[in-house]
Amino acid sequence: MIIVNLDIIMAKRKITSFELAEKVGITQANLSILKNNKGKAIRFSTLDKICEVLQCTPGDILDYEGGEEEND
Amino acid sequence: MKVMGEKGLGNILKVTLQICLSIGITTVIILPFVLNKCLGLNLLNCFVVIYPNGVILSIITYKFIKLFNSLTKNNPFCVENVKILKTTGIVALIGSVIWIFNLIFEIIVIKLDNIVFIATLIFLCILYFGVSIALYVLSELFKKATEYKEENELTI
Repeated sequence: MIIVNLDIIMAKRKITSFELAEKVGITQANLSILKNNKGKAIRFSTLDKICEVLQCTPGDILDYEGGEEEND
Repeated sequence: MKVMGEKGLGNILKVTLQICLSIGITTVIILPFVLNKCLGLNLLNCFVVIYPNGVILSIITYKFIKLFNSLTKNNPFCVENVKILKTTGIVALIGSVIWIFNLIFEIIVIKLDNIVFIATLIFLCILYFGVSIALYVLSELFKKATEYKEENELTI
């Protein structure tokens, strides 16, 4: 399954959820979904903006871990 | 015309079905006694034919009221509606089986030889069976739509 390591990068860059959400142009609720690995997909445009704001690559944010996807 | 929302077609249908359900339940309860009094039909036979089918129709109507209620709330594609459609399909299948029992009851116990009445009963069996399959297919369609909607909502 795909793991989103957004909170780690955010901590490294010392940026709050509010700031990031505002700079990327998404709601805090959606950012929270992404951070908590509850999202089903991410648009390239959103990923692009996140990478631009956090000065990182998609590989820094997204990671792959073996095992089945959790279904809520 | 607006389908969803408080002033939509869904709400009008919901209210209509609520009225139909109230009238239907009252009719089902008193119909055997009326038929017994007016046409002199056997009370037990009326109970056997009318009550089970009345209950089945009432459940189906009640489930559809719940289904149209979600249209009023602007949320037709939810897990609850999938369950409603599936349950209604099962109830319709039970209705089909009840009509088969009614057919057997009419032929063996009452010794009915009216071909039009028998044909009507066979038609009702097939109709209920068809409705149950259609509802099952619809429930699967709603399930898929709910999955797509959820996926779309969780795409950031």
